[in-house]
Amino acid sequence: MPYIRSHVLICAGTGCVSSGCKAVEQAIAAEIKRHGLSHEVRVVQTGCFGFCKIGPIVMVYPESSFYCYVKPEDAEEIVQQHLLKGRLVERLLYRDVQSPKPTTFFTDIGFYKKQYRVALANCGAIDAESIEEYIGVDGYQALAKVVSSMTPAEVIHTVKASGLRGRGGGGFSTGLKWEFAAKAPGAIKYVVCNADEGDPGAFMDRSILEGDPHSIVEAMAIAGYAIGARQGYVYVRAEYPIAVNRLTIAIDQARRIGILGQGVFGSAFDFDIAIRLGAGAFVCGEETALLASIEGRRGMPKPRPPYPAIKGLWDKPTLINNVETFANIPKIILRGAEWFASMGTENSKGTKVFALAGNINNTGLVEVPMGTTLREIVYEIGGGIPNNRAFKACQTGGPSGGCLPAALLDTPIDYDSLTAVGSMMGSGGLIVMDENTCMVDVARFFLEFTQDESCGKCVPCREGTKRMLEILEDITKGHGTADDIDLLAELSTTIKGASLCGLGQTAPNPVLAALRFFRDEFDAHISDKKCPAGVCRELLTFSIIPAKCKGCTLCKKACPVGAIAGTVKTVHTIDTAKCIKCGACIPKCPFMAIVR
Amino acid sequence: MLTITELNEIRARVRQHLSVRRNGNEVRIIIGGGTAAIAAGSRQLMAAALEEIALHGTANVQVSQRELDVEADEHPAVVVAINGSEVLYKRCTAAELCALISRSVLTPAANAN
Ligand SMILES: Cc1cc2nc3c(=O)[nH]c(=O)nc-3n(C[C@H](O)[C@H](O)[C@H](O)COP(=O)(O)O)c2cc1C
Ligand code: SF4
Ligand code: SF4
Ligand code: FES
Repeated sequence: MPYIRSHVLICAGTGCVSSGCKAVEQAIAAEIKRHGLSHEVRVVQTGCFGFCKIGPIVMVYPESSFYCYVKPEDAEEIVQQHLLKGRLVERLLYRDVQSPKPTTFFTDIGFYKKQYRVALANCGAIDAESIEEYIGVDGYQALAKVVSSMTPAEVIHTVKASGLRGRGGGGFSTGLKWEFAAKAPGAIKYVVCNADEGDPGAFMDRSILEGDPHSIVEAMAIAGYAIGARQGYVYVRAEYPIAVNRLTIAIDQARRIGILGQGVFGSAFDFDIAIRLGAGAFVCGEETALLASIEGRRGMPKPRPPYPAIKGLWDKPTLINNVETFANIPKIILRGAEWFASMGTENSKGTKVFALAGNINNTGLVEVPMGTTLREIVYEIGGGIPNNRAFKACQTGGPSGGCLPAALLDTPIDYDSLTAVGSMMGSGGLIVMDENTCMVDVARFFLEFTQDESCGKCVPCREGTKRMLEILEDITKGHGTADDIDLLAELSTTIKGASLCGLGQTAPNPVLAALRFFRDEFDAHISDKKCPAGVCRELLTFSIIPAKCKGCTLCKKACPVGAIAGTVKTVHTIDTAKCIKCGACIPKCPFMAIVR
Repeated sequence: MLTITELNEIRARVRQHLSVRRNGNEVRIIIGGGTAAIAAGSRQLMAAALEEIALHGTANVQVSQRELDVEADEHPAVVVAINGSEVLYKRCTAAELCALISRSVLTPAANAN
């Protein structure tokens, strides 16, 4: 077999596809051919590197040179300089926000230095559409080990001992859940992978399916062996076409090569997997609603118990786990429960993937050991807040969680610490907000989401979230009254206590957390009719500070409704009756004379 | 149905292919790059190196290029790095390089793993 000396890895995850990686890939492949390097250089399409913001990303091995923002026009230089002549293309190398010096090696990049990748280990490292590359990085070895040398009870014991807890939001012990499903009576059982990923901003499950789909196939087969199931289903939203495609390819390859199907690795264990597409309703991520949807019924939650492990899909015992939970399984089997349990904190073992977003320099997917502090994630991995603005809060747990203020930046991230401070782990959304964020508005945003996504089965969730949203909207519009806070608290208690599923039970959380940590902002909106962050438009008054205005007329030209009056070299004024609060004038003033 | 033996055979084959992406390979062959080196025949050295490695079918070698600090008449040059310690060979011929590779690849110390 010829020896290929260099691999050009091109990220083909959703993020880089939208920033144009396909054209880059074609251009690089064409240049390689044109320079006669086809027999010594290979182009490989991978899944997400996690740093989608700087995509399209191209990584050249063996040098581990990490090129970012690559355009098709850069292909010739990469091929001619790097691949042919052995010179790095410095202008395309990654530069940290803090330092203008290019980073030559991938592992020196601040964003990656503190990360420890277990669930994401293969994402961006292998060809996501090649079962052979997956096998080359020990893929399917865990399944082989399990069916050839472990009893189902031993597998369950290992998963239990690892301390792995569900990454889908609930944080329930994975090993215990497997044990329940294994012990449940019944000849027919199912394994289901929850890839609905409805939390706004979260995309770790999508990235795993896009970058390492075989790990999910392998983990589901291991779970099937452990609980005695022969059939698995992956429930994934149709809005994830690349993930669906890669998973389809992976299942197909695993069948064709003879891993999925009858007698896995020569054992008596049979297993196969089918995909079921969801239409992207948040509530369909809730396990009982998800199972209803797979059965072809409307996705609405059911009371539990019975839990799916006892009575799930078509009333058969069903094990349901999240994508990221499954992605940890092959590694736990191969490297051992002790290895996994050595990472993390007392009650939260291993690592967790977060989708870092919002007002932060390095947005993307980060995987860190449990117990890493918010500060480390925000400032070391995330590179801090852009434009030297101050940190105000970060939201964990998405619409079920809450915001945490700067005083809690040293909170270690694990299930219990986050719950203790009034938020939750959720599926790993981590939204950073700077001083220009209005916390009342953020609470309103999440409530708007949950009330929109409520399935309508329970009155407190259906009607209560609507009423809460109306109150919050009133507050942001300056119509808030002194009683509103008590009313919000009362509604929250009722909704949390009387809703059937997790959606309703956690929907008030963002409001409660905002009230706990940012009460002064609510008061400013209600009593002073002011939005301290300058976000809630109805509460803003645009005005010009006379002492700063030089009369340059620039703002007057920018105002779309002619609300600004003044002549050259005289102080300008804004007619608040005419002003539509669009803010177009503010950036135009060279002297920062306009305030709101 | 795939057997575990077949699974392991695929793994061994692909591991060799994936060694290009691994850090810390025991043997690294660095062929002098740049225009002058190419003019002096570094591309032929590359071809010979790749052929020699393919012949041994080993998974612990990596070949890269870098501009090496040698005089104009010392091209083509090659650095052979074994477990991190580098030795520079100036005016290297394809035959010499092949001998170097087969020696370093077959050295048990370098081949441990
Ligand atoms: C409203 C709602 C939405 C949910 N969405 C998801 C989801 O998108 N993905 C997911 O894995 N779990 C989601 N869950 C949690 C699931 O019900 C279930 O606990 C989880 O899939 C179990 O897997 P795990 O133990 O591996 O976390 C959601 C729960 C609720 C209440
Ligand atoms: S709590 Fe809300 S989303 Fe959940 S079942 Fe009730 S109405 Fe539906
Ligand atoms: S842009 Fe600024 S300085 Fe110029 S007229 Fe408007 S407020 Fe005055
Ligand atoms: S999609 Fe390319 S880095 Fe995320």
